[in-house]
Amino acid sequence: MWATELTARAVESEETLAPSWDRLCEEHLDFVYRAARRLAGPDAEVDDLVQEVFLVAHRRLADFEGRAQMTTWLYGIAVRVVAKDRRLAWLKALRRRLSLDDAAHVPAPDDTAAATHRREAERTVYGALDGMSEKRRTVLILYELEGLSGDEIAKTLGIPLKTVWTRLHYARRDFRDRVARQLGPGEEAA
Amino acid sequence: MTDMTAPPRLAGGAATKDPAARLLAQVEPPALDPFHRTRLLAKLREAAPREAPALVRPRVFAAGVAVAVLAAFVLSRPMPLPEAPMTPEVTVAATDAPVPVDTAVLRPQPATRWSVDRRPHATVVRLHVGRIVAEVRPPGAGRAFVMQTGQARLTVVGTLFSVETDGRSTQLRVDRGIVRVDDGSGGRLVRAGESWSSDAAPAPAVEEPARPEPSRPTLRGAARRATADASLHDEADLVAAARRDLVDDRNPDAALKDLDRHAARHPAGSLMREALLLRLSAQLESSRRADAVVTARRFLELFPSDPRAGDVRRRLDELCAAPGADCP
Repeated sequence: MWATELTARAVESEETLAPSWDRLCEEHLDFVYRAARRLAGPDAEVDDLVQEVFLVAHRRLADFEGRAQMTTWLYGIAVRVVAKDRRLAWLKALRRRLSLDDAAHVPAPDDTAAATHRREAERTVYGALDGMSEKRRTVLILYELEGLSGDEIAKTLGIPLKTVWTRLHYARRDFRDRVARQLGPGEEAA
Repeated sequence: MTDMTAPPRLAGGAATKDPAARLLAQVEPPALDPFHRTRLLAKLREAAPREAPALVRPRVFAAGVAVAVLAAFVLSRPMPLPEAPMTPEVTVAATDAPVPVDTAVLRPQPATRWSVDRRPHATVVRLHVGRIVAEVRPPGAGRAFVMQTGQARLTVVGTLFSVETDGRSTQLRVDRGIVRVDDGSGGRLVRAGESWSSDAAPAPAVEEPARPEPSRPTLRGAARRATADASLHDEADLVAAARRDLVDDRNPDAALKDLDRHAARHPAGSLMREALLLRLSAQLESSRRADAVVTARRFLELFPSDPRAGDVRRRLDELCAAPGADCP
């Protein structure tokens, strides 16, 4: 019920006249994790990205005026956080190569052949996505993987709907070319 | 804007020959397993941007205590007289050129003496002598914009107003929005089109001569702090009672009575926004739609940048869209 929920939130936030950090994280963790993981891919340090998304969201909570849905607003933040992280990806890769980072990401043990197959497919998808421009990559992920509508993507990215479709058109073409190159002629036909 | 032109999703076709579509269809939505979720939540709690108070008591009481501490810090420090030495540098205006200060634009008249003191939770502009016209945007959650003279403390909600002081009295005129005035004898709201003068107010204790050591705790400061603490506790109690009535007991009429008591005792209380939200909820629960429209508008007028303003705005739109709604 709106009234009860709003009341609960109202009193919850009295201590600082701002919504609590714990509540923000608790309520939206699953959503933010999924968004960050989708946008960043299987090899990213998703936990760090999730933390950064929440820090930005908490800092800018006063700017959230309820004109968009909370999830759309969080998507927008996640998109920018992941894009920034990807711009610095070369630095992280270099650190890893120099063994400054420990092996934080140990691949999950193979449980079934199907799971292995799915992981391979995901790596191929993100391998192709990672070579694309950030704008096309983001639109493709949000539309094809996250299942957002064109309107939702437009609101999330702050761009016109027509631009969404244009980017999606070129993103698909780019993605197909890259997948074809990764798979090679034999596998592509399979 | 519609989604009529949306192309079919690549992964939608089950038996597609497109290898890109087949690959996309195999990518499953990432899920957060319970163990990972718990670990990640713990990590996020460690990364909280600021310390939260320990929740030993019920949250509403904790809210009251936290606000009391903040209020004691911001509101209850001894007010320095204009002649008293100021820690922040005092500026003497040469022209009436606009000066941006955080979320405000100030226009001090020539020869006005003023200074800015930036604190963790507030920007305090001290007007020693002269006149300042101020246009202030809401400073955001958790921050306050305060203008202080020797006679009064003016907490700004987001507004256009002018303040003038000769060191012995203060005149305030509000052209737009609302300013909360605290002259030591209690708080009051001055709305658009209204004026306030410290001459018309009861003789405030702050007009007494300043103590030579303003940084030391004074009896006056202690008394005011105690008053502020008691007032905030009373407010917190009333708001908590209203919440219990509404949420736990599902009794909006009782909640509205608590809130009426709160409004009578604390017309410009620190928990006003929470009280307004509770009042709105109680009015909606008890189908007092016309009253709810008034409350929602008042909330939006006072707290337009509150994170919950969007919810309130949507609810107001729904109320006004209903048949027979009285929304002038």
